[in-house]
Amino acid sequence: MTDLAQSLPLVPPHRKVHTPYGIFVPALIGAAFLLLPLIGLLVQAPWRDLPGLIGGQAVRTALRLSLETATSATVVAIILGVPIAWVLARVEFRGRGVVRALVILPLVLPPVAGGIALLLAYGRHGVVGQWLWSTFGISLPFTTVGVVVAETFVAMPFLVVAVEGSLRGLDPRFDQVAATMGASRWFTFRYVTLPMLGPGIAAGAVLCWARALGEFGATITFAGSYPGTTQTMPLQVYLALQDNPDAAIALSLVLLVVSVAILAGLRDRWLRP
Amino acid sequence: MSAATVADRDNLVEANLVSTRGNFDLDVTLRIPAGGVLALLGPNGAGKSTALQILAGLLARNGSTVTVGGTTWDDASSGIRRPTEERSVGVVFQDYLLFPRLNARDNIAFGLRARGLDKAAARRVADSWLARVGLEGFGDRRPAGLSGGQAQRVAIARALAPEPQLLLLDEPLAALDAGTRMNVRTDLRQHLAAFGGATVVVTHDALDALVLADQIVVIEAGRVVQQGTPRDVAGKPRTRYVAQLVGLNLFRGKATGTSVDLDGGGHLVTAQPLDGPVFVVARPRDIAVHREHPEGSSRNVWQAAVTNVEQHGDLVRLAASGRPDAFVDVTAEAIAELDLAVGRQVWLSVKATALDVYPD
Repeated sequence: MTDLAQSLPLVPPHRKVHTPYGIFVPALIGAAFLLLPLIGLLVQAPWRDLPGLIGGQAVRTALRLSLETATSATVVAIILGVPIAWVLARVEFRGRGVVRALVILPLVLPPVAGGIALLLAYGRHGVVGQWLWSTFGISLPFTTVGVVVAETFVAMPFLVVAVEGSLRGLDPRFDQVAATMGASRWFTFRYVTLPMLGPGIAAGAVLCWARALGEFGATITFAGSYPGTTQTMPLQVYLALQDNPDAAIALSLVLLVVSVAILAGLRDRWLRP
Repeated sequence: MSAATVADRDNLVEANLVSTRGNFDLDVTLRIPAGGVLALLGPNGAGKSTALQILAGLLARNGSTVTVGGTTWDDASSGIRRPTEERSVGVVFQDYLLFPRLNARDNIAFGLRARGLDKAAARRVADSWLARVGLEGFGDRRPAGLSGGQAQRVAIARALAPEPQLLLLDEPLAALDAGTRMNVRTDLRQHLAAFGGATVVVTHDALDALVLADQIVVIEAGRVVQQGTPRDVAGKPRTRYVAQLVGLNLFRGKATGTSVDLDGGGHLVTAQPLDGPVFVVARPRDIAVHREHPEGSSRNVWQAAVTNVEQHGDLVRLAASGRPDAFVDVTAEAIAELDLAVGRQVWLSVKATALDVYPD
């Protein structure tokens, strides 16, 4: 009896587990809950007027501003975020957990609160902003650069998390191999680590870009909503909803298409379990 | 060890490798002339990899002294520790660690590029190395597209291309299957023969050490237990570990003329007279097995019990427990003829002239 029990593995490998029926019901409801709004958007979309609604000058200006600021924010996030990820993943220091928590905080902080915090730091009366203004005459709030600052603040943690994950997955012995061949730390980083990090940085950058593209709360708080300079697509959607709901739907549709395109581009990375 | 302070000018590498970590401590002295190949042979955990790490400068905090070509790389007493990237070393790691995002050519060119050679020149050298290791036309392949044997050859070329003074090989053949291993071992031997610097091969495989090296240092538990030429080590093992590696019976005892009283009990008669502590070696195939007490010329006859029977090449190896214990190689026919099985009582015999004896 005992011998037989020992010879049989507790869970046979590669065997489907029976799912209790009670699991299916909430799972279906949950999936429908996520899907229905998207269907609603497609059904309610004013398809005939669509070209007119999204072809207008204002929409094109907002879309271009959104794409430009989201891309700029992503570039800034890569330049600053990859080194942060490196330090968090590879440098042992006291308080690393605290630093990681602070870096990740914008992920969970309500964006409006983030916008207010940004005003307090980089606003004209803010800690850094005051100095920027008095020394260089630079004022960030309510400018396009301010939009980039707000988007970077909210979106960079996505990149840091993704890149830190890939760095932890790298075999540190590759650094040793490079050193035995006379490579300096910088040469190793440039020609060994960075190429191996490539996919992780790309994935993090796409997530970061998508988050920046959809940024609303911090942007409207810190940069306001001036057409042409700070009024990005999400802000325009919100404003359009007040006086022209059809336009809001059409603009949302555009953002949905962009998001689906991103998902499609990443399917190999995230849609496979 | 006492000669460690006397620098031998003929040696390219002089190293006293010392490291203490927890309850393991290493203290091994190596001397290698230019063109010499030293095999560091030992069981897992003997300290072989630690020794390599010290030589490569990859182990922080150790008490070692390493001099290569008259230049001090490590000197614990004066606090000198040259960083890895400033040592003229080439390392072949056990799992090769080829850079996965670089193709074979750029892997080989890496060390040259890192030392400032321009891209085109480095690639030309890399291509000549690809040809030397028989991989012409594989330059554009990434490591994932190479077989184990090919990856190993790229790793060798990558380590040798910058022309280091010291080449370190960590179990260079361990990751290969038996069929590939033989060919790669032969190729490796040729590359090492053509290499002008000093080589250290770390291995736990006696055959690798015997084929590749001209000097073998056997270490166990962080200490040198035997060193010499492959011929010395293979023919005159001084520890049970080495004897097992080279497939010999090793007995230790005290000789009085041709009579040797063994430490573990038992007695052997040898042909060469010696006095004092000795080792006696018997080849497993020189020992005969009998069911009855044998008549005849053998001076050494003792009773033993078969404790294990195992196929060993085209022979069968018996382990027999007696005074002394011994491994015996017999043919498959003998197994059937004598009806040998575990637990069987047998008589073993070996001629005095078949025993090698040398001082402890």
